[in-house]
Amino acid sequence: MSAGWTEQAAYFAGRHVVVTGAAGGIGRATAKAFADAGAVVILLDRTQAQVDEVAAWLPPADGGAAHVGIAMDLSDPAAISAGLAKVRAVSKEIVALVNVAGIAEDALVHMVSMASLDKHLQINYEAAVQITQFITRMMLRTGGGAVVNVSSVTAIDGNPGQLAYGASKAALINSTRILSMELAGKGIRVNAVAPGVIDTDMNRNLDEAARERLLQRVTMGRLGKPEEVASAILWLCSPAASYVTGQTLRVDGCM
Amino acid sequence: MTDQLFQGQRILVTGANRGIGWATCEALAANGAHVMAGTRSGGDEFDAKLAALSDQHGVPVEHLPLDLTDADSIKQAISTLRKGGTPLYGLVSNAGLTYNALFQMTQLSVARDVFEVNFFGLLAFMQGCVRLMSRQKAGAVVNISSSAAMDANPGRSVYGASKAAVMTLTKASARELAPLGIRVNAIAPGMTDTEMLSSMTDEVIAEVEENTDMQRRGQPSEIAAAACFLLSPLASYISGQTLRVDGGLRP
Repeated sequence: MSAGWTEQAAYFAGRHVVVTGAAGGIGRATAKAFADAGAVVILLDRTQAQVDEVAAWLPPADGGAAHVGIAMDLSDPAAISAGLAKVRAVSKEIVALVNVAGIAEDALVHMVSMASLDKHLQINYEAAVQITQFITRMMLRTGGGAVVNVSSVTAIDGNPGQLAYGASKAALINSTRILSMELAGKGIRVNAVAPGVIDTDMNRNLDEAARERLLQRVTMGRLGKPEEVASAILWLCSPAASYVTGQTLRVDGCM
Repeated sequence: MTDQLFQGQRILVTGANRGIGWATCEALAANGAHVMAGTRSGGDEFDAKLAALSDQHGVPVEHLPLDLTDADSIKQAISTLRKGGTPLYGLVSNAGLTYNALFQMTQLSVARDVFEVNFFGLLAFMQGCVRLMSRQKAGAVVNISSSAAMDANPGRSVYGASKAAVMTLTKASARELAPLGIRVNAIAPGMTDTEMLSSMTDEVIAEVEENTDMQRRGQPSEIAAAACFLLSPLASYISGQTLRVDGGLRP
């Protein structure tokens, strides 16, 4: 029989999920959405102080297990490997992975250094692939799970000044499709969200004119809240989305 | 943890008697909605089904007679909705005709019939519903499109075109209605276990499943769950989108 959302979200009660970039705007809201559903959240971000702060801020998980913060430098593959070993030590059964972590350093085409391009691809794309490889290998052993990659509308629409950022986010969309092709038949659904202009630190640095220009394109006439991206992510990871895979869902206030 | 998604909100489903439409009524009721089941004809058996659903979830479930090919019927239905106590919050435009025909065998009269229901009927009824929603400056619409709208499958030129028209209508109307607090999205189901499958041979069904990441067809309840999401506050910043619910169908 048909289940309501309350029942569908209760799937996460007491189960482990992993959120990268957990100290940022969308990451923090995503961790909160999972914790509200009763999940035990493994939080990844650059420093231990950052993830500890979020872990302490989250409501307790169902069953009382503590949320765990693990520091991970995504610019360093060896550090990622070491951090992932710590994740496995916390739990061998992960039901959801959300790749939120990302950087955005805007520059006009002729000003983009190859170092900056590499850095965007490493942190926004390659680190996500490395983490996804590790976690989905665990999921294959435990009967499946769900992955959500946080891309961007920039990956689809393009945005002047975001050559490096856009490329890394577009790569995430393509890997979402391919991971779904390879893994959905084995019980792992893989989707992406493409947020529009969300009220996070990434957009807080914009000057007033740039902010206005962006908002003119959003027909809802406002910035999105990190919680509004998080609720879409939670839904995509939940059993309610059992036939949704390989998709990129725009959460953009109708741009 | 969460309260029910649609506590007390009135939501209407067209083509509610079976398949995705009925599954959507069930899912809405499970989420606390006041369900309006729009169908061409009712009858005792259908009334009993509605009463059982109402009892099961403790929510009102009503029948709304609605023929999308008849302007008077649409007018009548909107007037009924206007008079009812609870304002209309949501609409799921699910009613549709299917049509399989090779392009050179396509009959213009049937093509017109398909567009009459899938596009013009949906358009006219959605206009009426949106007028009601705009009074309280809150509402959500989910139109049921199809993967055929994007994938352009052989034999589906007319059906696919009618569903592509729905996608474009969804996006353009979403842009216009955003300032009124009304969100409009669409779902593009892949191959779903409904009566529509009876028009396909077992061989074709197996081929499509083979070509789907999840290696299986979808269930009506899985489309319904996506409709509930898009109607709900969980999707408060999502509008103008067409979400494929297709198990990873490869075009």
